[in-house]
Amino acid sequence: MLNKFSSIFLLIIAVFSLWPGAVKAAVDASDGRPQIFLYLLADNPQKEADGQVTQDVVLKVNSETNNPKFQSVDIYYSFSEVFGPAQPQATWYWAALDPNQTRLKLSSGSLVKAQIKARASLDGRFYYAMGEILIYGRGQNQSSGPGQKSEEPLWPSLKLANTSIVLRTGDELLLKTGDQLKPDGKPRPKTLWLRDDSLKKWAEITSADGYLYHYQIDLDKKLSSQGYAATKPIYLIEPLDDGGASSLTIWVYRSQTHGRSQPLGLAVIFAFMVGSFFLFPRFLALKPAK
Amino acid sequence: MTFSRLRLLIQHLFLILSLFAGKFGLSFGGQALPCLTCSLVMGGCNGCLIRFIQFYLIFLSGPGAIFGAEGLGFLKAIIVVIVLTILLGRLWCGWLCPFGLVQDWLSAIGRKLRLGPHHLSKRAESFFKSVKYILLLVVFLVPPLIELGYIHQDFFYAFCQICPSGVILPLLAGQPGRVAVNFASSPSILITFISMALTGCIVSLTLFIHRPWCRLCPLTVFHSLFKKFRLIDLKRQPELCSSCRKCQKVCPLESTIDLKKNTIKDCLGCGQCLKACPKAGCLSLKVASKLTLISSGPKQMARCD
Repeated sequence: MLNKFSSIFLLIIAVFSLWPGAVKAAVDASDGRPQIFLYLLADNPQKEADGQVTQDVVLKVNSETNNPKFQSVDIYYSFSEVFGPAQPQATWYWAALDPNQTRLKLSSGSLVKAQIKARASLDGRFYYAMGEILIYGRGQNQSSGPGQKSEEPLWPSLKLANTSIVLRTGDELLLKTGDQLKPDGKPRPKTLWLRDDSLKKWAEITSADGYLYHYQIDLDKKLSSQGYAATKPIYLIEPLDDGGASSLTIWVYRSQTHGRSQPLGLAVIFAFMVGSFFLFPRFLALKPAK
Repeated sequence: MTFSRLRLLIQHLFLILSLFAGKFGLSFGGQALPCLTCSLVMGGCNGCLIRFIQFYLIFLSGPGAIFGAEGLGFLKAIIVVIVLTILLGRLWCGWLCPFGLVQDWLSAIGRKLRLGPHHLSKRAESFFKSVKYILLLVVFLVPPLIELGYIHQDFFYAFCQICPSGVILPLLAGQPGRVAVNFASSPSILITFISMALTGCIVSLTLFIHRPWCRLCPLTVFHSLFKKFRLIDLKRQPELCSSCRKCQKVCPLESTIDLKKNTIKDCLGCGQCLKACPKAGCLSLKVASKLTLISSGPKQMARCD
């Protein structure tokens, strides 16, 4: 039998759920859910010593949150050599990034994938952000010409940092170039190129100031008319420009509510409720309690 | 106030706490709890131990991490959970678990509709037990397999994604977003579909039997690890017992009496058996071996000492 406590509580819940203000508050909460934003920046000045070209890559990670109540953000990173002169390695290691930047040495022609995870707590819950960046160790013979944005460029030969992240339809990207102005004072290029590696297609991302770019991923329509495998990597490449700083900051926003169907969820619950209502008493051989 | 009313009051207070505590700044240091306080409730209090274990299985998989700050944090939290479990045992399920209370509501509705209560057959009981251990495997195996790359990362927190409390408790907190099938990826579609289906099944089943999810909950395995040390226990006086099994019939989990240890297995501390026992003094709920409540014969309430 439902007693007083349960009845009063259910009544409060019912009123709360039906009250228009409360519904609006719930919707607002889901729209403005806490997020961590991750900025990845690979700075790779080239060095030449003893006839060997190496790169001392500085990986800088910065994070921002949209909620001031977030406690400090922990950053973890791992590196794996995707392709190198020795052997491809799949060794991953995790360590706290301190102080939000780390260095790695790349030999000529090697390609290293850095994976970064960020974690922060709010109200006793953890929130995460994750990003990947591909860093290419330039070889002596592999530098390419300026302004390369051909249909199928040799992306490892680009001078600038190549970045790979797995994107999905609905994801929003905010891209920030390392410097607003080039060393010679000219504005940064206004176009970035987004590449679907599986289909070798390119999408153009433009910016008003050449500094901040915003792009909403709509893979099916903009990148490919042939469909798209959501888990294939996409490469974001800053077009080459002489003297430009070799850095790119990526801000990925993934709405967690994107692509959710509530009516279908309710329909599945209801269907299984009705189905199990008739099937379970028989299937589980339930016996009435005496 | 009677024993059962006191329990009900505490259950409701803890439900409110688990749904809204975070909104009032009560986060309890993010400590995991040995009951299904769902951390998917935005602005709720703390997450359950299962979510906590899944999280650390991902973050402790790298060399050095076990002995680092993460590992120490994990150790500290586990020690606190063990102490909490020893202190209250399965009273966490019977008195504090928010999803336990939701199931109690649904069972009450089932009784009102004259659909329950029913008992499970032995075959069904062993089926439930098997599913419980499969869910336990999901908790412990999926995170390392994700880290090793054998399983898609959208299966992260696989148990939490299918747990019905992760659907119903956010709904009670006014967050209907979890009642949905997620089309972000194929694994997301699969796991949210399973979650919705399981929620439907559990809601329906609760109308017929008491607390079906408590029979599947992997947390009960953790509770049973420390049952030897628990401070609160239900004891039977064998010389007074007539083996009428009335205690078993009224028990929400149909727990049987352990004839060797003279205790009731998996006791939630609901006190229903104390009420039902026809022999005065036969059953007693003891706290730290000190007598607290005893059965006092037919049609009488249990007495508080």
